[in-house]
Amino acid sequence: MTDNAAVKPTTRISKVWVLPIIALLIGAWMVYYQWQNQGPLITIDMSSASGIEVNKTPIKIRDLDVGQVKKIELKPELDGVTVTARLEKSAARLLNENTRFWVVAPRVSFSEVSGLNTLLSGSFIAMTAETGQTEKDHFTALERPPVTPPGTPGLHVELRSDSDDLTYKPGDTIIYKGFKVGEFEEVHFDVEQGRITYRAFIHAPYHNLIDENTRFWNVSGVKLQLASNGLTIQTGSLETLLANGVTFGNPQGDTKGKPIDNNAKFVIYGDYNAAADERFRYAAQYVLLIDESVRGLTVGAPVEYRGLQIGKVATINSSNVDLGSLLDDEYPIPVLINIYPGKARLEDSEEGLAILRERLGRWIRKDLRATLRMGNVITGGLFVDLQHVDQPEPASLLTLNNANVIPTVSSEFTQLTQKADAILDKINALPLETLIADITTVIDTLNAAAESVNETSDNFDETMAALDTASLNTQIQQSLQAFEGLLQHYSEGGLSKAEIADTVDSLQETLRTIQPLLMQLNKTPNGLIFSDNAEIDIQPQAQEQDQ
Amino acid sequence: MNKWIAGIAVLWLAGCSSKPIGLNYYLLHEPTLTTDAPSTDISDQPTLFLRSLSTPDYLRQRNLSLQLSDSEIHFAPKHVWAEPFDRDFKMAISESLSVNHKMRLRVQSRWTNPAQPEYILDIQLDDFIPTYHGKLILKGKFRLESDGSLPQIVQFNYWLPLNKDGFAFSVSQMRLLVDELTNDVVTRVEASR
Repeated sequence: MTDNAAVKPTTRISKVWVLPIIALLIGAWMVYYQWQNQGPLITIDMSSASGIEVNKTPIKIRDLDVGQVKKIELKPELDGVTVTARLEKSAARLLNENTRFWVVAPRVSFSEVSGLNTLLSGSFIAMTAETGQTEKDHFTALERPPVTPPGTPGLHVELRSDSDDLTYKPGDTIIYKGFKVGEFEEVHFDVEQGRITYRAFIHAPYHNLIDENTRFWNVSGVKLQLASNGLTIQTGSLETLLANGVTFGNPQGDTKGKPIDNNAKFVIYGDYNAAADERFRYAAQYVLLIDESVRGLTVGAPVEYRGLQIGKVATINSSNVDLGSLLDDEYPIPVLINIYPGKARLEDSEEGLAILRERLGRWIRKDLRATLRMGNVITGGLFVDLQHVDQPEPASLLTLNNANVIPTVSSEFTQLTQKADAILDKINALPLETLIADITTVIDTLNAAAESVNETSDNFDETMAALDTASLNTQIQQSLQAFEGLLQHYSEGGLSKAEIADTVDSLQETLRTIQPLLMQLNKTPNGLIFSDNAEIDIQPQAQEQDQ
Repeated sequence: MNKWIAGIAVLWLAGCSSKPIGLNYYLLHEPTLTTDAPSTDISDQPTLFLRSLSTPDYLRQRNLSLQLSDSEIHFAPKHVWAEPFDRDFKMAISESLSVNHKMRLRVQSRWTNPAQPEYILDIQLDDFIPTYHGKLILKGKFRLESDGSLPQIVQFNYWLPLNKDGFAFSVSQMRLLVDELTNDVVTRVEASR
């Protein structure tokens, strides 16, 4: 039992450390592997962090997760937030100057409804997959999703509105023959020029429809136009009925132009007619000096010759024409009109313009006169009618502000108005109150007369009802029989007409015979008893011989 | 006594009674003025239709009249027409036409002959009276009308002197003036044929 334990020095590392060392190596490898394979860390400036959560909100390309938000912090300028996100390594190559980020959230507007799937899954940050030249790790997010998905085939155009009333917003549609072929993407307001320009996108293959002669015009909502040529209702598609929109095309009669490049500039006109008129490049300007009211005459009102439009009103009471003050006596209102050679079936060129001016100048000296006529009774819209009048007052070709003056004649409507005013004055001068009182009296009298007639009619009805018709018929029959008997007696042996005449003659003769007797009795009442037989018998005497 | 009273009354009434007036009756037409033939067919004779005859009122009296001054007329109480003057005047004209001119006077519508031309005569007598100047005057107008010609209106004024006194001679002269009137009418009828 004396075995002594052999003591040996512990110079070797304990085997217990093997496991921790292995674990450490594995951990180091894992760290290295993680570091080696992690994606880039980027920062994105946004206006707000609405719907974004740290370690939850993903970053997607075409709905594929490529990263995650790691941190959100307020910007030092306090005008937004900076979102820090980690992307996958495979997405690192997509980070360049063309990369765009935006927040996808539920969005409802007149023109679109999008992002509804994020109601349940939550918002996410979308990014474009664009190639570029320069790597970049700091970005500024878009305020709203880009209207046109990146990479969509088509053509960008730059549009400009010619009217302050025409305003569009991103997402408004561009239609062609009822089809939606494009959208407004961006709106820019040029402060210096005071006008709005739009960047729009036309999808392929419709971009092939656009050339240098293409015109864009407004088709927003429902357009009611009560003009001198009547009521016009224009609508586009259902989308343009609810929101704004434009359409395009080559106006009738215009030729196809050359193809355009990307970002070509166009003007948006108010309607098709305005766009169609724009194809005429040459116009002759004339001035009308109107002595009467121009109420109802609008800029753009047609100028017609023999019922066909050859021009339109450019300005009314232009300040460029100095004719004095409107308050001056006999101040003529200058109306500037444009007459297009192209609309007069002349060549739309300098030569056609010269022919038009020469022809109109000759007609003005002869008998061409302008008249304001009513084109629409409902709206009272006026248009300018050029016509040849009989026996016009002599006129020379005057020039005002480099524009020839077309003499005017009073319109028929004005003459009619003057006559109507005269008639109304006469009607006003009528003693209507006295007349109405008299008429009321007459009506009362007529009512009384009508009541009297009704009463008489009722009495007559009662009398007729009380009349014994059978007894009356019997009496009439008896009377007729008696009259028949009298006629029969008269025809058989009664006094004839000749006998009656003889009897009357005898009676008259008798009266004549006794007339002297009556006269004698009147003279001497006792003459019948004491007649004067000694009366002298006077007879005609023979003519004396000496006479 | 009663006999005396009755006798005095008879004498009184006898004394008061008047003797009858003696009247003289005259005819303007002349019954003795006839043709010799007992009867004559006058159907073919030209006819005058006396459509109307108007006379002054003093001629319609039975008493014959006499003009005593410019303004006074006298109806003879003892000299009367035997029949109404109008009828007597028509008969006088008829007799004058028939005897002197072989013409027929029609005074009634039934005495027509459509085969013969007929003239329509209207006579208006203004005066037919002996005057205090010893004249007998016949004044008036007649209107003569025939088919196919314009009517003639003639004013006549005939007169004859009275060579004897009395209505008898005056009536005989009246017949002559009636003849003169018929002569005038017939002359104008023949001139118009």
